[in-house]
Amino acid sequence: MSTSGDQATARNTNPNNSYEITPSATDSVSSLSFSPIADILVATSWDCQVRCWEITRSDGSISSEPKVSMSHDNPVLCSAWKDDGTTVFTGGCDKQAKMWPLLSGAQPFTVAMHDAPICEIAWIPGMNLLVTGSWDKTLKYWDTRQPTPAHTQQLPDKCYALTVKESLMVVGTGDRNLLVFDLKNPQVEFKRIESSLKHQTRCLAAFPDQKGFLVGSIGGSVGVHHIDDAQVSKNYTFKCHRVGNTICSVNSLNFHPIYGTFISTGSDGTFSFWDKDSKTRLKAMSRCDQPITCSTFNHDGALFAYAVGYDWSKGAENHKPDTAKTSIYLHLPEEADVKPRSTYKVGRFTVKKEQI
Amino acid sequence: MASIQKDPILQVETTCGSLLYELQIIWDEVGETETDRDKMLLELERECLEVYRRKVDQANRCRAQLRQAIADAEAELAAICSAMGERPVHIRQTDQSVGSLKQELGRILPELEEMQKRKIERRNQFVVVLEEINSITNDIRGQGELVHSKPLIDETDLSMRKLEDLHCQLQALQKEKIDRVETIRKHLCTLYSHCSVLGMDFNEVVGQVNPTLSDPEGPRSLSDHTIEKLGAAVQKLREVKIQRMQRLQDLATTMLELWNLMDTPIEEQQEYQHITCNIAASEQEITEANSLSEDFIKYVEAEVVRLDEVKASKMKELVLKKRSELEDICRKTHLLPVSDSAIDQTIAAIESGIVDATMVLEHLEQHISKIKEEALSRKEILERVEKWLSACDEESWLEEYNRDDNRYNAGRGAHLTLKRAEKARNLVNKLPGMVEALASKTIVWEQEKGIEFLYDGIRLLSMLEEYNLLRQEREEEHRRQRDQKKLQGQLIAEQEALYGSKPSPSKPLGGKKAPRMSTGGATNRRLSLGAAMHQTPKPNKKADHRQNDGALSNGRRGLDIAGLPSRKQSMNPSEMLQSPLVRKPFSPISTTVIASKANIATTTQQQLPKNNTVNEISSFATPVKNINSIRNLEEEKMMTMMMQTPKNVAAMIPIPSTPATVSVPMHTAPTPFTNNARLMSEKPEVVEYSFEERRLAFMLQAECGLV
Repeated sequence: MSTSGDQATARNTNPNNSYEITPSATDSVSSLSFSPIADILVATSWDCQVRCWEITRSDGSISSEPKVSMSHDNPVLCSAWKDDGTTVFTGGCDKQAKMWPLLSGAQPFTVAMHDAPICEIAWIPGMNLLVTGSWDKTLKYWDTRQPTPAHTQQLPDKCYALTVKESLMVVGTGDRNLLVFDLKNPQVEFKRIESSLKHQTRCLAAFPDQKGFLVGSIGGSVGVHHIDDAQVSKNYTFKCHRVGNTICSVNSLNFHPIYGTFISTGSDGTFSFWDKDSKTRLKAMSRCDQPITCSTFNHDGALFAYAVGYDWSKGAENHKPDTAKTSIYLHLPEEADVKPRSTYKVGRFTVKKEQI
Repeated sequence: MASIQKDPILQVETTCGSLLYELQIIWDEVGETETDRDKMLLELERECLEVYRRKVDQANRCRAQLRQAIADAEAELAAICSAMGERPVHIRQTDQSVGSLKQELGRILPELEEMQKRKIERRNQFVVVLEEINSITNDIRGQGELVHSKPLIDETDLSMRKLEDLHCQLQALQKEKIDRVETIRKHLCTLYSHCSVLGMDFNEVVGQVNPTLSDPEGPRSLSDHTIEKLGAAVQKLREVKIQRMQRLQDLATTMLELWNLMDTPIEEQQEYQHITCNIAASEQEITEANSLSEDFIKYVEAEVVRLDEVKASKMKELVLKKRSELEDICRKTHLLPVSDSAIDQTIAAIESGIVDATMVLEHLEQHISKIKEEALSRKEILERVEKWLSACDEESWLEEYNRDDNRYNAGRGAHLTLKRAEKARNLVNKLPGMVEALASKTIVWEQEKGIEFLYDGIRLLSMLEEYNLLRQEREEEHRRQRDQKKLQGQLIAEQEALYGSKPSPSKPLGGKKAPRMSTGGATNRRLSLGAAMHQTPKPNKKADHRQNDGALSNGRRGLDIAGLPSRKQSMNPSEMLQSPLVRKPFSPISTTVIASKANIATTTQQQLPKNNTVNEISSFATPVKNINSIRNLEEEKMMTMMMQTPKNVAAMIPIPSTPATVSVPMHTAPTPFTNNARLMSEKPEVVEYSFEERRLAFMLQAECGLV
């Protein structure tokens, strides 16, 4: 790609012609979550708001309808749905997590408290517990009916990323620690691994088969980790989200709920489709003018939501609040892009093992 | 003839014949003409015929009437049967009909009467059912003003089936009515409980829904509309209840927090216990009357406001209280208290209103719990330290005692002193083992926690090392003393040989003070011990850090240990140079340092009168060297332990970062902006931040700038 071409595409706010959800957030979107049973999307953002839209799709056309919204006192950083799709949990800089039974129309109320902002939140259906990760170096499990945590797990450093898949939970903290938990026995660290990537952990995604997880760093690479010691030899890392020599952060990793391929998004404003088993990039999308801050698949994988806005990867000096527009887009992935290929070209394979 | 005479017609004929004969006789006599006679006879015959015809007609009419009556009866019977849905009993079959028409009519009429009677009965049954249906329907429709009109009965269908149908209909209606009554009753019950909980007038609420409902005796409206309105009212009250409940629970939560914050006495809390116990109750669980009334909420609100005011006034007091609590715990567990200036700053900040006092309190509370936790883990070792220190006291007492040449002089309480000395000797014999056990325990603790075990701010291990050194030194002194004594003995012997006199056993120096020394000396010794420890903490810590770093990096890289000691020793001279310099900044304990120095100096002077020329530094220089040699041994031991158990390396990793006791208060400082600023300025290169943390810090700074 030539630089001029880069600039040309960079000016385009929606180069992939995705459907834009309106009204959008007024500041960067920090998390997107689809209901596990319906096409209801929730977005949390730095403007302290949590918004909810209902998405309807018919024959390839999409429409969205804003439904409800609520607000925190401070920027909201994370969100998660309860497995029955009735309730949304959100957490943020006000050091609280709120439970919002939005389907029943009830008001949100606080269910969890930390000493520092809550940056990760997840619902554990098997245990009926909420787990929150915070910069106060703890992980807390909450029975939402109790005012005190069911269990507090001390972390070696601040929590930066978290992923839950049935009984597998992986927590990424500062100092490149990756903590693996078996949720059948959540009080004991199952394993502590040092990230295979050189830079700070930014995002995690557990394999659908729970045998491992992906880790994305702020240094433009993704690591594939297997948990079983016998499988460690299959671990590898690859570079992505780079524009020429500029290294961009990998901001989110999402597995397709049906095909097991995954999408990565980054500060370079692109999102790409990957197949970890064949080590193939299935598709690369055009570059947006701003970073993609977060993304998610809906429950059947037919919709991919991603948010474009400034992610602070270049600090405050590069934040231009006047021109930076935050948008939330919906992309309809083509089947060919998300289905793992039976045959693939090794020659075009861009992924290679990175030196640690 | 007789038979003929019996026949009335024959008799009539006879009479007619005789009358005709009589007429002929009359005519003959009169002499009537033949034509007149014929004419008369014709007339007679015509009149007879007339009479006959009239009778026949009459009979004929009578027969027709009879037939008509039968037909009518039959028709009516059939109609009634068909209406009642019964098979007609009487089926006229013309072929088989026997008997005359009158007989037939006679048979059919009672049947008809019977059927008519039954029909009337049936009809009455219908009327009863229909009237009931009508009344219930009216009830349900709720049009009370509808006039009870006579039910319309379809006369053509009075069959049992229809009656049964109507009965079913009636039953269904009755059931529906019962259901509705039940629904209304339930709604009213719920409404009543809601009203009582919310402190509302039940009759008024119900009266608004439907006036008939508030009348306990009279008939109640059962209409859909009423039920709907009632349901809506229940729902509305429920919403109000939930809203108030949430409000009350919010208040209760605040109240609990405030109590907790201010340590409100239980008696004062008791009054509001019934509120706070409902803090997690669901909507259904709150049934107590007036527990959600407006007045009640106002009352709770007032209490919260009052507590809030109390809190505001007490805040500073509380902070100070918590702080003294913290200091108390620290003192008890021999932990270094949080630096005063940091807390003074926060208090100043509270006064100036920059910082929210609750945040500071929260932070202090956290800190206290952390310290308590730590104190718990330290307990075992601390107990051992106490034992060791008391043993040390005994040891120094024993030493003083041993030095007292008059110790065997019989005096008051001498046997007690002897006993104490015996016990002390036993204890002193155990001391090395005690120290070793304590040291190994401490090492284990340090490895587990990944931080140094500090006793009043000094590393316990270094205290123990110091003690071992002093002990060695003392042993050396003992040896020298023994030699000296021997020399003295020789001198005395020589003098005895010369002068033949025997001097009384004399006290070496300051003999008057000896008895005081034997008791007060212990504290002196301890002071000197403590002081000796005070002198070293900083360089020691530094050295330890460096050594730890070295050990770690070595351990990580898997280098040979052999290279290590040489590196360590290279550090020693600088440490030796530093230690006297570093002592100065410890201004708060400087007096004790000086005193202890003097103390040590005087004791050495006392013990070694001939070694007066030895200067202070050299007397310190030896122990320092020794410390290092010992520490190197210690270090090597730890190293080898770490090499043997590689898992420990991971456990040790956090050590170099920051000892928790020192840095924690900075990390968890509650006010974000000051906190962040401090953190940033202090060690920007060490702390790792995510994009979001940076963004939040920037936001807070910006906000701070605006403020």
